[in-house]
Amino acid sequence: MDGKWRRISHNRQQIIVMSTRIITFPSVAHAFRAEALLKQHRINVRLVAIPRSLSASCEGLAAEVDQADIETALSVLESHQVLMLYKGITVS
Amino acid sequence: MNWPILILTGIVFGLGAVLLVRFGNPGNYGFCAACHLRDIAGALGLHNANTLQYARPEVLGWVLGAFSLASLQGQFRARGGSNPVVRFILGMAMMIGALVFLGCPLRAILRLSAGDLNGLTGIAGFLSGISIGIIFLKRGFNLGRAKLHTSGGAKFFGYLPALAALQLIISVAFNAPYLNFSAKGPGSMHAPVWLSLAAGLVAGGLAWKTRMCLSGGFRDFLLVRDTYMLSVYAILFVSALAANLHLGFFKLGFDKQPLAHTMHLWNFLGLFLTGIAATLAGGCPLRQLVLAGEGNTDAAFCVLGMLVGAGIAHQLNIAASPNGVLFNGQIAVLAGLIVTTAIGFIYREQITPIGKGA
Repeated sequence: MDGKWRRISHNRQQIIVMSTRIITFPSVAHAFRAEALLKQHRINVRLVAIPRSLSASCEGLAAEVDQADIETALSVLESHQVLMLYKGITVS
Repeated sequence: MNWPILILTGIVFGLGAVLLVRFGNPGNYGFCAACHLRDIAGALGLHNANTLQYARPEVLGWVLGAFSLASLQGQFRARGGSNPVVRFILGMAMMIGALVFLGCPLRAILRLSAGDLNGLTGIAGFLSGISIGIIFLKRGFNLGRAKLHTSGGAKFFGYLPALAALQLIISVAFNAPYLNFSAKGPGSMHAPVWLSLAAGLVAGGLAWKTRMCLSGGFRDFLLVRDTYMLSVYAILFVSALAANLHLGFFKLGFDKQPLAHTMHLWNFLGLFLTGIAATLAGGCPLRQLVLAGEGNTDAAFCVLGMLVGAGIAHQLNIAASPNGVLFNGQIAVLAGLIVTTAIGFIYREQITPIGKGA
């Protein structure tokens, strides 16, 4: 998960914050549709293999979205009837 | 990535496979989901090829190893209901393709690691098949979502593959009279039962842990450039290559390789069929066995399809031999391709195109 972690300093304590959120879909086609829709709405999105901690089988793809964009992304996808399973989960 | 586990898995499969050959298995036959299941089908009387009958403890160990580790880690879940009949048919197609090539995708890599260049032809076919499978996935192919089994009977079915594997392991260890045992040919060649079983159990546990799958590995690489699963196979290949070179099993070329033929078109098309079917079923033959062990009843149906496919392949002279692929085998691969692509077209969700839906 290198590169997805961001260290921020807060009250002299180092807190590790996950900077991205994961959305999963029931099929590969939904994931591709989500990617196209989010790109259309100028939201940064990256399709990744479904994180192994989320799915017992290894079928499917997930979308990785910046923490800041997650609410907008979910509302775009919901308004276009993209089926989602996990809606913006953080994965360690 | 959990590199220590990935490296260990690659070594156990690569080195383990070559050592199993060293201790008695036929050439490049240490681990193979397709051939070993075919031998198990023979042991159970599903086909009468009397040189190919032995309940191989290696793949039985995969199922039991996956079951044991999943249970120990509290992740055994009886689940299914995602079109089991289609998965059964895909299992048959996967097996028929693999027996025309003479090996599952894992054996294609093991064959290549011993210098058998026909492995390359097979892998090229497998990769092409996965590329076709991906087109179906992108177009909306979906067999539906599996659900956790809650009723007693369905839950019990989740345990059946592990129970069946255990029963067969005990039977083969005690030379049970109700199993067939080849007296000659590849089926008569095997490492000691305890060694095959130990290798299978460890490999199965690790395969479950890493979720290794060659069709999934190529699929994830082609779709999103993810190299997690492919890295296991790269380590596997290197360890097997090193072991083959060290033990003198390495022989570069196409001709006269152990349990292989040189009909390039059919080597290619065999694993091409397996590649499409595996992508649609969501995992290669090895992965289906591991999933069956951890309670996935859909994968169990796929494995049953593979067993029946092996029976049919040998009863109808579909399976290849070192002499090549007979007419029946060629027809069966073409029929398999028609059925598999038809499944790819039929099981498609209706997804609104973005241009119209937006």
